[in-house]
Parts: sequence; C-alpha cells; structure tokens
Amino acid sequence: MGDMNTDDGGLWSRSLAGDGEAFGVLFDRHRDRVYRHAYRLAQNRPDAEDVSAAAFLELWRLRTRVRLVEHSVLPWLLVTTTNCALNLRRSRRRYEALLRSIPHAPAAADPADIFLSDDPFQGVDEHLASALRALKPVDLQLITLVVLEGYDLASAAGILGLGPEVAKTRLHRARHRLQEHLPGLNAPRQLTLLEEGQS
Amino acid sequence: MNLERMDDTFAQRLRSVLVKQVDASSPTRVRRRRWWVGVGVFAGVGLVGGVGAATAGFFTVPGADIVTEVAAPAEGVHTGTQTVDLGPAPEGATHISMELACLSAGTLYAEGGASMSCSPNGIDGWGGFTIALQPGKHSTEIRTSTPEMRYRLRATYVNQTPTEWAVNENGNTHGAPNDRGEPDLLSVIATNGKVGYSYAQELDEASGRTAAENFTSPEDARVWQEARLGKSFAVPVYGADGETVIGEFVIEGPPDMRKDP
Repeated sequence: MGDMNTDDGGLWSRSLAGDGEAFGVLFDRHRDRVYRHAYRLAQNRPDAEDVSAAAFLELWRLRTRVRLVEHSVLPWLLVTTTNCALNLRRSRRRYEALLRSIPHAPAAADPADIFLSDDPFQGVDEHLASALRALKPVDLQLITLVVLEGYDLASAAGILGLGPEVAKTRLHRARHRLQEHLPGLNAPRQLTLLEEGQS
Repeated sequence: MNLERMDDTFAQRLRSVLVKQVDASSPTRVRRRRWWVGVGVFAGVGLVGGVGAATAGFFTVPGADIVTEVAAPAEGVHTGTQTVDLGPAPEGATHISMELACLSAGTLYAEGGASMSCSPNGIDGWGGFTIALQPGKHSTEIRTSTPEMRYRLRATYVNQTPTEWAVNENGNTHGAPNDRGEPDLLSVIATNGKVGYSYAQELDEASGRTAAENFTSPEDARVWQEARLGKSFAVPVYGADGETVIGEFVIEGPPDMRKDP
C-alpha cells in the first residue's frame, strides 16, 4: 500500500488547470496499481492494458466528478477500472480510435503473465478472477477497495455513494459469497484475501 | 524486477496521449462555465478556448484572452484566512492569476467576490481566475469560512491580453467565450478530433443551461438531473461557416453508477 497516502491534491489541481505533465505524473504514480487490478479482472495482458487505458481516459473525461479519497485519486481509479473491466466492450468502443493508436506488445507468451497466473499472492489468479466476476458490481467494488486494496470501509462507502450500514452489510455478504466461490482456496491465500482489509 | 507492471512501451504511448489531452484543455473554460460543470460532463474531448496558451505555442482561438505568466508563481498550502504577498509586480503584468484547491470542507472567499464551497469529500473544490491588477498592490487575501479550513493556492502575476472574435460570412461571431460574453459559435473539439464550432444556443440546450434557467425549485433540478443519468446529448460541430457539419460534440449526463445492472 505504498502509494496510498501520497497526496495527489497538488498534481490533481494542476491537471485540472490544464497541466498535462502533472497528469502524467499521476499516471506514473498509479499505473501499476491500476494495471494490477485490471489484470486481476481481465486475466490477459491486452485486455488489462485496454481497461487500464480506459480508466485513465475516464479519469480525465469525468474529471469534474472525481472525488479524492485521503488526497488520492487511486480509489476513484480503481472503481472506474472495475467498471471498465465489467464493461470492456463499451469502454473500448468509446476510446476505439485512441486505443488502436497505442500498440500492444506482441502476443507471444509473456513471462510476466505466466508469473502472474502462477502466484496467488499477487491476487491475480484465475479462480479469484472468476469469483470476483460473479459478484454484483457494487459488491465487487467494495471487495476491491476494502479487501484487496486495503482502504477503510468508510472511504469505500463514501466513493461508492453507500451509507455506512449498507456498505457494511454488503461487504459482509460479499465476503461470504466470495468464499463460496473459492472452494479450492489454500490457507495462506485465504488469509490474504479475507483478513487484509479488516480493521 | 517487478513483473506486475504495464508494458513500458504501451505505458509510454498511453502517457503521452493523456498528457496531450490534458494540455489541450483550458482552465478558463472550466471556470467561466462552472454552471456547466455541475450540470453535465463533456465527452467531446473539450471546448477550445479561454486561455490562448501562448506560452505553450498553441494557436490562439479568436476572442480568447492570451494569458502569459510573467513571474514565478507563489505556491503553498494554507490554513485559515491568509494574505499572500507576491512582491512588486513585474513589467507587463496586468492581472494576478489564482488557482485554489480545497483540502478540507468549507468555503473560500477571494478578493473581487469570487467564492468556492467544498464538501467534506474533497475536491469539488478547484477554481482558477484572474483579477485585474491595481497599482501598488502586491498582495491578495483569501478568507475562509472556518479558521481550520485548509487549501492550496497558486498565485502569480500574468499578462492578460484580450483578442477579438472572428466573424463569418453570415455575420456570426465565432471563437471562445470571454469577459464580453459568448460568441454565436463556440470553438469546440469534436469527438472525431476535428476542431470546429457549435452554436452556443444548441450547446445550452444540450447541456441543460436552457432548462436550468426555467427551474422553479430544487426539486425541478433534481428530477431533471435524474432523467439525464447515463444519457448523452450530441450537438453538431460545424466549420467556421456555421453550415458545414464536420462532427459532433457530446455532452454526457452523470454516469449512473449506483444501480446493479
């Protein structure tokens, strides 16, 4: 959670004032966290790249609606990444021409992909991905922010527009649903997944 | 080696696309059209205008003020009411440019009557504007609604030179909005990337400005806002003649992120 407390406020205000480089620094700061989350849901590199790109393009397009949480744009980006991944086709269509202009690396087996799918501690394995996709969108957002990314429930509820009690109940149920979908969980992964976000 | 990373080539290309998009936007646009920001979100890449970014070497849109920084900015985080001293004005300075961003909830009041309210959730809270320089004046005061309110201020001397709107064959003015109002045709970037013009009247209808003027209660506004959730509104983009359609500009209602599909 290294970046979580980094203050994006200054860079964000400069971006809103039309300073492209400030937005570039925000991109540098958060691109890997966004990509990791996109990969977690999309399970392949080209889709994860398109989803990440769409999330950053949305960050700019919807800039007047972006809410910083703990002075960071990352929670908003993660929520948007989830939306873009759930809605990959629509995200792609909106940015079709732009995405076409950004070439993906060749599709040959990528050692990084193999590494990622082999390492459950990175939170990007296939079972987790399909269990996550089985959740309702709001629940997936909650699990992402609280359980996988370690934000507190109040911040997550705030950015998702949920009341604290509703968020708590939903999160509780979502954890259970996730557990049901992950019968093959080995012990260490279960710890990582289900206890990380509890405070 | 950290393997959980976006491919570097892809990342670099994406980064440059993002930087260009942001650079192409205009702060003046946002502040002069604040009513618009609250009502809808632009998807047509953006309106061109406000500040002709002379320093960045961009073309200047007719009617836009050319704003050039003529001194190093004073930047800092402040708590409560503060007076910021900018030192003596350099030659060529005509205005003080200020950008404010809230770091906590409250209201900021700047000289000249501008104010900005921020919710506890953070940055609704960004505003930028220029105020005309008065002889011998080196400082500007920012007042806050509570002594503990925190905010970020960037202030600097600028030279602001107005330009005239262009007029087409039909006698319609075109360019960017400025202190004198709006031209008939506003400079916009269409979704296809072409730079052109949209009729201010058509933009007002699509953005809800026209509707907003007829609201008689907050309830009207709420009902209207909800009807727009997740919808988008397209406006034709013309060449400078105001007749040849070259693309469209899309204004989006707020995305509807609350419901389960």
